[in-house]
Amino acid sequence: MRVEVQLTAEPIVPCRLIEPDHAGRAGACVEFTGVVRGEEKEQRIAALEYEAYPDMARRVMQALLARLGQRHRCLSARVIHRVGIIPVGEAAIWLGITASHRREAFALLAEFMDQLKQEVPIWKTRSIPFEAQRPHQS
Amino acid sequence: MGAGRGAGGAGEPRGDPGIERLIMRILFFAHLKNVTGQAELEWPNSPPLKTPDLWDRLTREWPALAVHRQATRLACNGEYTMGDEVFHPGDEIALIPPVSGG
Repeated sequence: MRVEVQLTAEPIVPCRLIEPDHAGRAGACVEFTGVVRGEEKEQRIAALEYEAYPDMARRVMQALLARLGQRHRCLSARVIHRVGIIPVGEAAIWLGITASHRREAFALLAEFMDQLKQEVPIWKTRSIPFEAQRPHQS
Repeated sequence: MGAGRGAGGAGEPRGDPGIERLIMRILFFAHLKNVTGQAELEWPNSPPLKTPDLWDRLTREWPALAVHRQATRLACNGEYTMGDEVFHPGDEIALIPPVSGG
């Protein structure tokens, strides 16, 4: 399985799934976008701040995808995780998977997201309250 | 996640050659940075430290770290450790509090 992992401080632009499968093996292309919600712990927020241990985060995601790819035979997996301040409504993570059949792609995606939240050294470190984003009024 | 250690052999300094070999680097992330007031520190000329020795030294310097010990995993040179570990000069040791990516 071809694997590509990226951490970025820039907004995630929804992108094409890795590369076109010229061999015609892909029967399923599954995408997931994790978006910052406007509420955290029942408080309205404007943004979340994410922090990573970058080298290890990339390495753990690579290893995780390689391991899951042994169990769920997919063709490719691409992950982009954003760090820094991410405004509400923007993507914190994007994951694209191609596989011959949808079942493997969905299974890999679901397991990866579950494992990411246990293993990958990335943290939500701060909620930025909605009020803090309003212009100051004198 | 597998937790094998990749670099170096038993009892040998790991990490970059030269002076880096003498420095043990400790990294703090997320709320642990607030506890220690810094993202990283360096221990020059540290002897090899077992996991309990490392925690003893850290909690002597920052007693408030002790309450986080149970929930904090350690990584050495970018790989999770399995528990009992010996850290050497040249190692980069990270304190990994519960993660929350995605």
